[in-house]
Amino acid sequence: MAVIKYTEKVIEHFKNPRNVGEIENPDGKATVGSPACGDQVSVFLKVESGKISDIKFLSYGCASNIATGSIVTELSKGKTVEEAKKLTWKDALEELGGLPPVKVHCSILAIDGLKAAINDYEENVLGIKHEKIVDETFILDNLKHVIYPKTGENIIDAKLVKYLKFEDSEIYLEISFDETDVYKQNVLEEIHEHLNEIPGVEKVTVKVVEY
Amino acid sequence: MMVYLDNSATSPIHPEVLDFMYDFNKKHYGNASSLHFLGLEAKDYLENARKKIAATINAEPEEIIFTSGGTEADNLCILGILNASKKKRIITSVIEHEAVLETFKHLEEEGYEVILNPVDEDGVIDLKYLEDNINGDTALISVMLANNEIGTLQPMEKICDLAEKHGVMVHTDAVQAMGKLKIDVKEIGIDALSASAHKFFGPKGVGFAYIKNGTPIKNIIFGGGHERGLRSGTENVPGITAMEKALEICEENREEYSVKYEKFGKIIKNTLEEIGNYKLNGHMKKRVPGTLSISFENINGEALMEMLSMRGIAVSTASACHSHSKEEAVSHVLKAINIDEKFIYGTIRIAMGIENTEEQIKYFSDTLKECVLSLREMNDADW
Repeated sequence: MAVIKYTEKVIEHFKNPRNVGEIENPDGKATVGSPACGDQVSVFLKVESGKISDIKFLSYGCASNIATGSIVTELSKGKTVEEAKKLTWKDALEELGGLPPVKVHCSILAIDGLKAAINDYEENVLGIKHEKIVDETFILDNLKHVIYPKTGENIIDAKLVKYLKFEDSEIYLEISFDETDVYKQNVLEEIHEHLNEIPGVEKVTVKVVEY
Repeated sequence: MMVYLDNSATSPIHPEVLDFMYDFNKKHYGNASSLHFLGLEAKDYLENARKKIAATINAEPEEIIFTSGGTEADNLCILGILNASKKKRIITSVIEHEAVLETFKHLEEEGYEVILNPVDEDGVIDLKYLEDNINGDTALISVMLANNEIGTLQPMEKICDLAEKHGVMVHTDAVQAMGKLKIDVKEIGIDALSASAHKFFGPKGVGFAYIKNGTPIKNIIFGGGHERGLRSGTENVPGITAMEKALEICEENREEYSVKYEKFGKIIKNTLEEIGNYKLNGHMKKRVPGTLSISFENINGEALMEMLSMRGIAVSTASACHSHSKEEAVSHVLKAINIDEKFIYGTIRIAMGIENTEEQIKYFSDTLKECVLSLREMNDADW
């Protein structure tokens, strides 16, 4: 039985996800997302001589989320840590042959999980401290994780963000929407969710403007 | 195997009705307002359907107003009754369908005082709250007969008794109940009711409102004055006659269908026992036949729905990760009945139909078990 909106590959990975499970005593692990928002992914990895020798994932997400988790583990297994760090959600999306626009945000979570697990490995095993410099570039990068479900692009590429200022621990953002845009509320909530998590940010003001 | 278990969303047209429609559309295409032989013939079919539908719910023929479906019937009853009243307080339940809730939201913006009546954990309306909130300025109470997500039936007779004492009109959205339950409008004591054909194996785009004789009501659609002036627009005679036919089939076989659904329900419940960590939602006895709302602990309902879909099984889920927002990720009905957080996101709705076979239900049960167990295996939900 075909489900039209997904590619064959998404369906195949959803039906038979690779690398499902947990790794005992992993070198790196991370959980991202939250079940109450409908998505959560955990990634576990083992590293041998700089290469990801084993990687497993668990998910509490929809079909797209599970399929992306599967493809991301498949893509990163055997790669060096440095190579794996360069994987983006676009790579995952491409490998799957695309996802419906409203589901693209699911592919981001799996990549976030992979990166967070690598981060965890670097901190705990290699002793590398990741110091985050929070500036406007960092905030813009963060906003690239917010997807505009209408087009499946992130809100930066979709050119929705018109102005950004970060000063005295306060973020001021201007974003443009049509008055009748059904995704407006979702996107605004997601922006707040992402920006409020950034350390050192005390206030987030988002203004909806019409351009 | 294809198994359709989403009959509360819409049902396939009964094969007999479909044949009837094809034939009817071919032969009797006249406009019921035309005065030539084709028009007169269409008018006859229209009035005959009205008579039969009225009889099915123990109403008078002139009390039946044909509409384009449930939403329009809801709008006509609610807005129409309020158009004829000066009172400004209106009451509805928190678990209504959007056709009613959104109409009330609009009315609130127009200056009406809206009371949202809470329900208990079974989804049954709090009658004490209702009584306490009826005042001299209350125009209308609108409460659905059967809920579309959890199947709970409301004590409509009691609601009507309460309302009558205070001179308040009562409307019920009977979209999910029509065809599945015996409905007697006089016994219930209801002033207005809405129904939709495509929920009981009739075609989409047709429904009806029952409006009790003597109920003050004004039209909301303007035009040629069809349907006693309450619903202008050329009558959809082929749709209306098909709706009547579908309702007749449902009425004739109601007992048989109920017994069948009961049996299928048992098969599914046995499987649920094997799966474990589940909850059934809604009132266990006072419910519409053939529907089950199941919540699985730590399961993503959308993933389960998609997994079943890929195996040829159509069910619906009341939660989706489209929105990525906690507020919108789950339905207002499930929130209103206070399901535990670990269960609420793992909810699917089974709505059986007359075409389902025991073989299909067994395939569904086996597949459901396989899918839930495999999703649990890859689950990392951490609350």
